[in-house]
Amino acid sequence: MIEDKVRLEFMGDQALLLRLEDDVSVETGEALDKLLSLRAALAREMRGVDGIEDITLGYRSIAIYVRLEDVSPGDLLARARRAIGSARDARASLPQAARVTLPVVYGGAYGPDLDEVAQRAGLAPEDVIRLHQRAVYRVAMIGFSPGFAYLIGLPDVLRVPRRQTPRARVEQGSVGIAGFQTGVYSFATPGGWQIIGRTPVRLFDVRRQPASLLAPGDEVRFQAIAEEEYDARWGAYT
Amino acid sequence: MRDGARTHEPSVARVRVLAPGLFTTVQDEGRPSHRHIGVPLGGALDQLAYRAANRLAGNRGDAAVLEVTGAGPRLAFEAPAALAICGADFAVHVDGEPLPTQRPVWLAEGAVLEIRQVRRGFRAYLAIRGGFAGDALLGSRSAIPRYGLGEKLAPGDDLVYVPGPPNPPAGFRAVGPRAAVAPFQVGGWLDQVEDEMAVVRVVRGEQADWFDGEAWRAFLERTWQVGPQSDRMGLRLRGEPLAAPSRQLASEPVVPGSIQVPPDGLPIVLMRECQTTGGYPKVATVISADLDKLAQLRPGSQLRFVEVSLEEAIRLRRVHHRLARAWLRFVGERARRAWGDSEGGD
Repeated sequence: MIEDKVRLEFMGDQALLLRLEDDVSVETGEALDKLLSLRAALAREMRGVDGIEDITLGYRSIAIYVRLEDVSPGDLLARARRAIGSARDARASLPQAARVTLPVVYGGAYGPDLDEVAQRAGLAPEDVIRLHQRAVYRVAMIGFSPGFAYLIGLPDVLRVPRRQTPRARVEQGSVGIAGFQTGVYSFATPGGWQIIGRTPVRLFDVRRQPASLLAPGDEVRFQAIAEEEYDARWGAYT
Repeated sequence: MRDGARTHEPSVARVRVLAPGLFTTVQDEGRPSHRHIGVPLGGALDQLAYRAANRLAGNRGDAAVLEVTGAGPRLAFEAPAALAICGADFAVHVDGEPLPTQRPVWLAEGAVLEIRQVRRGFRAYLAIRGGFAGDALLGSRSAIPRYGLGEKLAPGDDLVYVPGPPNPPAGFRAVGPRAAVAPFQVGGWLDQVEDEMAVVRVVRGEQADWFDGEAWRAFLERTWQVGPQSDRMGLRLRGEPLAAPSRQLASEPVVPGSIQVPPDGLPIVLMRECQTTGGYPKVATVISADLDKLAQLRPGSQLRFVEVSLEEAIRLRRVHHRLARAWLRFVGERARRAWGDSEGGD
């Protein structure tokens, strides 16, 4: 049952947070399955309610951003509880996930931390590339910057801590690793993840619909490409 | 903003940016409904001042404005303009003459408006009748340059607007040869700018329990100072560091006003342009009724935090919303009378 695993709390007077208990695993995707079911139920329950601004996912939580001058806290809580009660705790009940393959140039100037990751993992750089490509990832949440997808599903052996000193600038498209997570920098920003490659695909383009290439629940694969191909595909949106 | 192609139309005019100021951007209400794709709320940091500026300029709704920070731009108007500057108290001049603010302003063709140093507060809003023309991205004009959503003002930029009335409305007082101002100003809202020590109300944050009782008391008892690295994303506070919890947090949604405590123990108060998620524990959350006040703090400003209950925060939010709406309606009616507009209502 999902109900036994969710707690409700307000984030100041701006949002209601549904938080899964600590024993629900983020890394295996258990939390994501529950959150996707909960989000679907919340969307049904909140449809047409004035004052609901947005519903977003964290790794083990969902925030409902709300204008509490338009909807009462009591009404909001009642709807959230109904949604929790009606959420189906089964991956089978979720809509088919979108599948996206991101081309990546691994190593070299595009992946300056590939050798360090290999060293820490006790692998050859080619093995890191092979293992990173072979896995199927799921988008757990979008955050940090527009379109930045936090991916779960990284092989255990590739789990390395983030860099001691974050970089002042990580280039757009950089593919990084931090602990159990992997992801793609959707914009050039400061960042502390270990960078093993770069994709020419744009994860966020405000002039496209939808603006974010990825959404929670989507399946992502990486595919190695040669450096020459990077330039040819730069800015693509797959 | 570089929208020169439309200026041949007779009904539009340009403002030429002679000097951009410290950090001047186009802002409005922001993007409350795109946080699920990682787009910050953004928008004018002081929403009440932004709305008041629009009312004073004679706008019924909320059009895109310029947010001016610390030291403002120098702007040349090629046609008459109906505008207002509201928010922090800046030294403003037109053609070298001091111009009073927080009120309706009429400028003649050729006027050069200079928003100099801020004297009190930090951010002000320049609203123009009809708004500055431009395309909305994701439903908003609010600029977030680092994400390709608009740019900050640069020298030589042109802003496009609808010309104001050819002559100043009756009752306006002349300020030099090319400006006139309404005989009233809005009072009251600048009272929230506490020069010595801002008092900011908070509720306990999502991870308040992760901090020991000592750290919570210290958070409330200590005086904090706004650090120089602060911006529209967050206020980085200086002071005696708090004992930060060592537990790891899985990234989760945040709100403007969330107060994160990174491992160095120095709190970061998130502002409207903050990231949509964060992985630092949050000791407290500023109540939304006090968010506008944060926008008027500048590097070096002192502040302290006072705890209120969640019920009180929600009550204050509703009260603030009602009072703001009533006050804005009043300001709007007064301004429309001053501009000589006949239609009533809002």
